[in-house]
Amino acid sequence: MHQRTTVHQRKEKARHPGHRLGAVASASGLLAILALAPATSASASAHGRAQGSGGSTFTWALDDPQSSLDFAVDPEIQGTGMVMSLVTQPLEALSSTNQYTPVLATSVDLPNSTTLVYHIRSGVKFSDGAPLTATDVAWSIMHAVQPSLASATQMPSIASATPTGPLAVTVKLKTPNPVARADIAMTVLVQNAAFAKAHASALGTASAVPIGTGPFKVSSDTASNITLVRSSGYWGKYPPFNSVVFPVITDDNSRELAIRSGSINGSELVDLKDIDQWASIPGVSVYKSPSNSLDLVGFDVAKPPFNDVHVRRAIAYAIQKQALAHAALDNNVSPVSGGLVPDYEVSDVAGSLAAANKFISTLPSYNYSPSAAEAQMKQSAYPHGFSTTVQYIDTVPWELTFVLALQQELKPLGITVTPKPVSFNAWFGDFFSHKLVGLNLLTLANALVNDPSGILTYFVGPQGSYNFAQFQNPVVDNASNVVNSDVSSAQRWAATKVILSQVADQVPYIPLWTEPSPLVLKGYKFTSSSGLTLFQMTTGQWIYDLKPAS
Amino acid sequence: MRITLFLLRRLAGGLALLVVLSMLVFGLLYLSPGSTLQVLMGSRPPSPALVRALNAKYHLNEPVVLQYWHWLEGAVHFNFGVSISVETGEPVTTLILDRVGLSAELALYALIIVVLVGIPLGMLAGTRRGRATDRGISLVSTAAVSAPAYVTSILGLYVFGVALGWFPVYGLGTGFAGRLWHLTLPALTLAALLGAIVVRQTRAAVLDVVSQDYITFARLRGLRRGRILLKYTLRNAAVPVLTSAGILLIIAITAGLFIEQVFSLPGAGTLLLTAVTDKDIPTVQGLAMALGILVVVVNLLVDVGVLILDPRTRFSTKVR
Repeated sequence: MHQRTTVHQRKEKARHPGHRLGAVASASGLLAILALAPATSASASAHGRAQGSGGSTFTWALDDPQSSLDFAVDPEIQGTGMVMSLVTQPLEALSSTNQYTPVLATSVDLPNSTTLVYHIRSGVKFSDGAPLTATDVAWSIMHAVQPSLASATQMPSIASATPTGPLAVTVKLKTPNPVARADIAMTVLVQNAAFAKAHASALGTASAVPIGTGPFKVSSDTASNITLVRSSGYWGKYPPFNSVVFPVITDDNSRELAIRSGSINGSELVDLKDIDQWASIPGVSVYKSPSNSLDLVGFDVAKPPFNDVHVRRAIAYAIQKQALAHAALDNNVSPVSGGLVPDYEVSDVAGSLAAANKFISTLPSYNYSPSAAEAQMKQSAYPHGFSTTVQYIDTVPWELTFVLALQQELKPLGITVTPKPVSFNAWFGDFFSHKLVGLNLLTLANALVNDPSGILTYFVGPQGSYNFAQFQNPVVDNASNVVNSDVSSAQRWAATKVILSQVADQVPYIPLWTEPSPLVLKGYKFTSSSGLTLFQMTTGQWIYDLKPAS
Repeated sequence: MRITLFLLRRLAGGLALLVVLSMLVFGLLYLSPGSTLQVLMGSRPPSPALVRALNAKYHLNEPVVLQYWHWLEGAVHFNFGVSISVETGEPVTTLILDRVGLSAELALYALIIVVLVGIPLGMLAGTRRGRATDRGISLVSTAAVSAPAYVTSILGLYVFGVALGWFPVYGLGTGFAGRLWHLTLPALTLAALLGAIVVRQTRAAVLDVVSQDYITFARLRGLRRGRILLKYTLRNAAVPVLTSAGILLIIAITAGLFIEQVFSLPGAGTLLLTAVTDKDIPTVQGLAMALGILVVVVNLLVDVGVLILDPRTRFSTKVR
């Protein structure tokens, strides 16, 4: 099974005590008062302000300290990825439409279904002056597949990477994999192998920060901030900043005050319900950056009462997605209907977004209908209802609201819901070990590649590591294998349609919506009005996509 | 000699306390929901190879008693292991030493403010009992002690950092002056809380002392007011104030945790929060030990201080 997804990247941060602390203070209504207060002119003159447009320092606040600056150890795109992609570079930049742009590799040959040959750019030097060689690239790929490192789960099909020329690296796959190239593009940031080997035990800590070929190098890495300065002799075009500072401000309210005061230029916004509050700050732009973060409801179809398809359909009809999106997330989400994943994640194999949508529109969408819900319930083995416990992760703000609303929505069907709080770690421990029972919510399941094997096949079949619904049958299992194999796009699309149809008919999951990745800027704007994609964050492109607000 | 024995007994008690503390912290973290393995894997699906590698590296598949033994074995050699998730691979000792200095600076700065402002205000309130000065000081100190640390922190940050722009809203600054400037607002916030307690303790102690006969006689003897205040009142009022140091320490640690978080100060408090949340057992254990040692040492110093300040306690120690 290919592992190309991450779950819960942003909300995982929400469990950090800083955010809990923030929630407490917000609850006190304090920030509501502060939100109404205008920033004074006095605030603009204080020392330590981030430089505005035309300045040479860009300041981006991190909402969590980085556990390592080695991207293979901590492959969190919105943290380590944003910082280290300015220092260490990928071989290629992958786009949201699955297009590849050369970075450290000028081209890639695919001689057969299990071999990739990377041709490395010549004349590139690391920030310490050493030339980039095939050995560095091969080592970086093999470093990322070390079983003890988190990045390894994203590159399960890599068997070996060996230098086959001064500037050529051959990667061998264990089995054909349609997205192996994308995995490498999104996961491997190339670093100086000699330095890394010499500092193996401390690599990624402040005493051994990886050395890369990017436009910046790390000048200091402390618990309070990470500072990057320009690396002399960079092979490409420099971004318009001499330095980039990443202060660590874990508390949401403190981060908001920092941007109010002009001390920072930008930050990620953790809680979607805070978007309006942040957007009201003078001079601040809030971007609801598109993401693949999927939220859904899943049922354990192997055990009663959710092994009854009529019960599952009844619940699907009873959920008012639009109203819940409004109540739980202030409507800051994009609904997903008719398929398990957003249309753009299957558009590549479908041939186009229109083709994907044309098929998805034929699938049942289970729009809110109390009468349809009632009819389905009557057909089930539980016409008078039943009682069930629904867990929610106590640090994910929308889940509690959702479960409480669900409790009311299912009452008319005779279903009694008892909410039960659970910690992030406990829930995900059960999730990955497939020990979840009953009805569950999954938040922020991310696909790193827009491909059906990026996330869709994770939710079905015996090999599906996200298949907490235990949804499997010979038809789906076979289709899943086809999607994950190196066959033609037409065959993969046909198999994808089988999976989507089965999910829509059997309702092991109810897709809800995708959450955006909100970003905040002051003094600058992104060149795209929609903000940044994960793909820009992990390639270092994001720094080039900034322009002065004026 | 008996005083030495008394102190040795206290030290031995402190050591036993540390061992019990380490067992409790280890056990509670082990029993808390979620697994260290899950923290290490983050939000990605586990592969059997990854699980095997992490279990082997951190002894996670061994019985809890054995895991504790591994830790204890290292701890007696001052090796507290390496951080699992806060700063992966960094030795815990280095991590704590890097962070504890900042917390100590903050505590020292706050303590100086408390001593310079809190004690004189407490004495002033005590000597002017019932007057407007006393009422005013009591009112402010009651408000300061009642306000939750995170509220005063955020208010302080907004008023003095954002609205007035007098102080920076995050960061540590460079050089002595820079550090002093950056720590002023958090130190004032911490001092407001601690100072309020000191004011109330000092006031109560002074009220008790000023009603004593020896103060009346001192006045009758025509001694100067300042001498009475410093030599007689302050010295005798100091014992209850000093014995409250233990409580102050606990409050400082608890409030410091919030204050460090709000002011984005990477001290021991934020490290503890992150380590507990991320279930970084070696780091939590190391910090628990460091804090435990601090509490034991401060209580010992308080005992010594009381012995020095009040000769009667020396006598009672001998008698015991």
